[in-house]
Amino acid sequence: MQIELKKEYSQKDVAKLTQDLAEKYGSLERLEQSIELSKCTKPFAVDDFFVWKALTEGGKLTESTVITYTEVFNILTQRRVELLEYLQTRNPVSIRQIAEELGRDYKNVYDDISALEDAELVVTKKKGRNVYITSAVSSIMISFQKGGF
Amino acid sequence: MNEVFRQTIFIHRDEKIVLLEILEEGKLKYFAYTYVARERHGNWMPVVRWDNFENIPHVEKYDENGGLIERMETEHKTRNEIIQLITTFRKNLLAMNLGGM
Repeated sequence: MQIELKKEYSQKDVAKLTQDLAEKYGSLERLEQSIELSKCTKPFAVDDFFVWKALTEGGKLTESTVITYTEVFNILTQRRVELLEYLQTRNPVSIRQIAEELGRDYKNVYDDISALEDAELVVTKKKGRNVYITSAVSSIMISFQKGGF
Repeated sequence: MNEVFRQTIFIHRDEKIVLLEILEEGKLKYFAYTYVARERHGNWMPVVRWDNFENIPHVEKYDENGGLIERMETEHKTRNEIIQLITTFRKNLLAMNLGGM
């Protein structure tokens, strides 16, 4: 059994991703210089460089997360799936906003967002007093298969 | 047209395989397949990684702090071969001669 969670990237999502990379590394050229000097100590910076370069050249991004252990059902409770669904159309700037809009207790929403973030199903980003919370997935597919991958 | 394929496969709550492929006109230009584990403070650290940076397929082993231990050239392996290798031998990967495989 495996669960596949897909993220479809719109042009806006790609623009957001490249903006995040620019905030993290400064510029593509600076990142290129950095990985040439320290490739072995920053393996994921190398990946970020190739992704950024490809997207700058008009590349199309496909992303998915596959979960192969059944404990994931402990993470994907009904409330958390509802949260993921809510995040498809809303761009909340705080956990309190989510709690108010969904009529839920703040602490429970906080715990649910933390659990989803831990499983990389949502992304949170602090900016000033705001915490931007976005879903890292746009669909969930459960499949049964024989013989692994 | 470039295509970027990113996939994360959680094989355990604290272990995952991070896959990246970049294709140019349908041909694989860059790949990086990294077996990553969560250390006791909750940070994700690379354990073993295959990539073709500078067009040379190689495999790298990392210690628990993410420091490089060893880097060896290796023959190109497909994504599925790497996934199979990691899921089968994940507890012994650091002790194996991955360059010769």
